[in-house]
Amino acid sequence: MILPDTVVAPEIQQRFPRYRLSQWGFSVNTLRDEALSPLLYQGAGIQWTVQYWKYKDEKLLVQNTLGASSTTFTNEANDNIIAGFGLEYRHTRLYPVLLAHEKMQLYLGGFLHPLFYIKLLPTNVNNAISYDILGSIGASGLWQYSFELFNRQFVLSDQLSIPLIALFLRPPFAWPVPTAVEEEGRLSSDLQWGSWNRYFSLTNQVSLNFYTYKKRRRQVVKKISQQLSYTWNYSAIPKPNLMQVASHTITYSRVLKMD
Amino acid sequence: MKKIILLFSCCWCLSCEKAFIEPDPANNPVNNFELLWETVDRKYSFFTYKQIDWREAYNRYRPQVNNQMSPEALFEVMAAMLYELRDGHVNLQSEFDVARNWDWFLDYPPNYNKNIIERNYLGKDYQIITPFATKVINGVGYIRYSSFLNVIDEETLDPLLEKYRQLPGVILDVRDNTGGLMDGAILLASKLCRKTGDKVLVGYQRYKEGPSHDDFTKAFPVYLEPEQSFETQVVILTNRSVYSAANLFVSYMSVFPNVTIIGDKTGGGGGGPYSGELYNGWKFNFSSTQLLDTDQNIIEDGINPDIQVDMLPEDEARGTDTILETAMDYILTL
Repeated sequence: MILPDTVVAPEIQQRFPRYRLSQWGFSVNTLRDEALSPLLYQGAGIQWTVQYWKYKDEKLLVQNTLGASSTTFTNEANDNIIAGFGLEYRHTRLYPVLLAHEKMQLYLGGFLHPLFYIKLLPTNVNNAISYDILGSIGASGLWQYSFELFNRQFVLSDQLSIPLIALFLRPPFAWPVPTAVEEEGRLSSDLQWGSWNRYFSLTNQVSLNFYTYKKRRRQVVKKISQQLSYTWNYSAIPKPNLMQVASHTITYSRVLKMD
Repeated sequence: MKKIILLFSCCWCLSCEKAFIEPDPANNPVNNFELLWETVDRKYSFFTYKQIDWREAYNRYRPQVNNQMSPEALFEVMAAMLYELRDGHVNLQSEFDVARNWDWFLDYPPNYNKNIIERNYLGKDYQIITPFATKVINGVGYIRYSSFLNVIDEETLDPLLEKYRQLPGVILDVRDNTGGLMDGAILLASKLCRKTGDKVLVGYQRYKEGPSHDDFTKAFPVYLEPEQSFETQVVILTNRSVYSAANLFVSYMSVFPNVTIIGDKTGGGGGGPYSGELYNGWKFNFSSTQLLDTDQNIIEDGINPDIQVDMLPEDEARGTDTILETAMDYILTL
């Protein structure tokens, strides 16, 4: 259920509708990465994601999301700055489980999420770099509700994603470079895997899809579909150095129907 | 629209990370002292080797800290505690001072006089091939390398060594070289060594992998893979101010048959430095790895020379560098 750009009624009954959302966002972040510093850093950043949604015969919703972000973290105690850059991809497959209510839909499914995030604190001598390289598989749920307000059409949705198992690489306990990589050219001994006890993450996205109208001589000639989202994420990796990050992100996107 | 704003505001408030992320403790002397002591306790790499009782240090210094003391007084207590680590890689940086332990060179003769080298040996016509200063003196190639922070460029080093390959020997003067990039040490060593194999073991490195004082990884071997052999005799000049990456370089070079180390023992610094910071913004560094020689001895306390020579005061008064003269005699009498 999504609101596409259209001059007529939404074509949600189409067999394989596909949508593209190019999102720009602004985030407020909190970070503690003890591989760099034991102190809590506050940050602000920008985020760009491109998202493809594909409905397959009302039996499957596939979401593919590719995102990049850049964040600058600062600390109250000094003028030090941590610069963070991230790249991520998320493939989500969701299946409708509740269609009884015409205006409400619930999807449940799973996702695959590779992530690469690098953080730089240049005032450090050797441990100036920290990184989170991980791949996770998890569960995801999407709730959607369409409603009308003041003769306008809206779709409100909430999507919750929780990884269940993850494989990840972080800096070792007291050195930035994985020891096996540096000395033996292997990664395996520094890779960790685990469930919530080793990597915990929670991502909740609330979105509102709505139209704005393009009029000519008081006639609606085009309905422009847009999405405003708020995403909250918390992630933590406790070992070998505690890493916690939380972010609040507001994103805006045009919703483009591709078929 | 108001409903939409209200909805988003509710979501924002409900999604509060404060339930998960604890704020930093208050920025006061006690908390700063505790953070410094604990970070060093978990990650410093030479407690056992140096037989330091860090808990006993805590018991001695902690009562001297209270939340009413001035930053200067706190700095003094912290500096005194860190001084007990006897480590040149340990320092504490505040906005008004840097606490350090420089005993590793201040307690010994300097054994290097820059003016004598510059005025009486290099003169006015030496070559500067960044980062080296070099000249052929009495038929021996002399190369001065003052800091491993100055990045070595293979394209400038290779032609220089090619030229000196024909000489009876090369003197590499790393006195007062207090270190820098470890990659530079590996590169320079691989260029100056006589190739004894495709892959030559030059040392080991151990990393802390847990908070206990003896939580270390296995010792990972470090190999040099020289592209070509440097058959010429190499003499390395050392003094107590050869530290950290320069100390490591000397350790690597001591493995090779074409290398002789002349001068004083090096200053040491056999642990990779790691950084931390306190709630009040002060930064600190300390060693968090162990560098070892090929027999797995820790090189934190320095490398002994093959030929121990000190600068004689009467030579220095005459403008003669005793250590450099010894090195030239050594090469020319081979």
